[in-house]
Amino acid sequence: MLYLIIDGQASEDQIKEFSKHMKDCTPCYKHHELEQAIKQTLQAKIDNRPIPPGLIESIKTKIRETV
Amino acid sequence: MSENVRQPYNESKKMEIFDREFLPHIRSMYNFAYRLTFDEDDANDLVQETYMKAFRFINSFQEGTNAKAWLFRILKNSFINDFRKKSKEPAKVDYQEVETFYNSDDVDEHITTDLRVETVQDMIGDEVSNALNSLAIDFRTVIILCDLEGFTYEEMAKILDIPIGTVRSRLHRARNLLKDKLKEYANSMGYR
Repeated sequence: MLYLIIDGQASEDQIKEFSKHMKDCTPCYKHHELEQAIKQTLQAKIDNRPIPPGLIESIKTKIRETV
Repeated sequence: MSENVRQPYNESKKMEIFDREFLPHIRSMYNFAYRLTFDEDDANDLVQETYMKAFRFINSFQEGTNAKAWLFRILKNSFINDFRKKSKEPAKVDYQEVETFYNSDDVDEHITTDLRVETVQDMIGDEVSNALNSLAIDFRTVIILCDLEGFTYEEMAKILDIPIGTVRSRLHRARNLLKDKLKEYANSMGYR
């Protein structure tokens, strides 16, 4: 259930249930914090490379040759 | 593929769908290809090949459906079927075996509970990238699709041709392996 929450795929009831549970359960609270931090760190710190110049043009040229 | 009774698209419609629904995803596609191949030229070739296939099979794409997932699925299949054979990527790991191993009961949770939130947050991009890149390709792939590209489990199941349950267990294992790697980095850098 933790991953459903972290990944934004839990239902409202599941979110409520888990939030309530976390208040009393330190291991779950900490696990949630860590998993969320890892996900956010991946998203924030792994750069997206720009596409190489000419890639789109080269694809379009090849496609024009096939039609 | 042909269960829908639908007229094939004419040439100008094909180009319109290609430009409007396929091309906007090219940066995500290129980054996915790069994270699979670790090589700019290979990633470039893989993306070209994928877009050529997407155009060739455009009649099996239904307008307005999830183009990004459809394209990712083609890219993943091209990589596995055609590309990995040609590239220098080391021999395929038997993932079934890896998965069975990691699904066994003795490996689980809380191996890395001593990894601290602050430690993770302090890591630089290279450390995080290296940890991700060191994972076997099937584990790396689920983290890329879920965390970097934001696909749902259902979309991932379609892209990877595996049941949702397998997506979830593979993601679980992948995240545990990633935590182990992050912990190794943290230790080697003297973080606590």
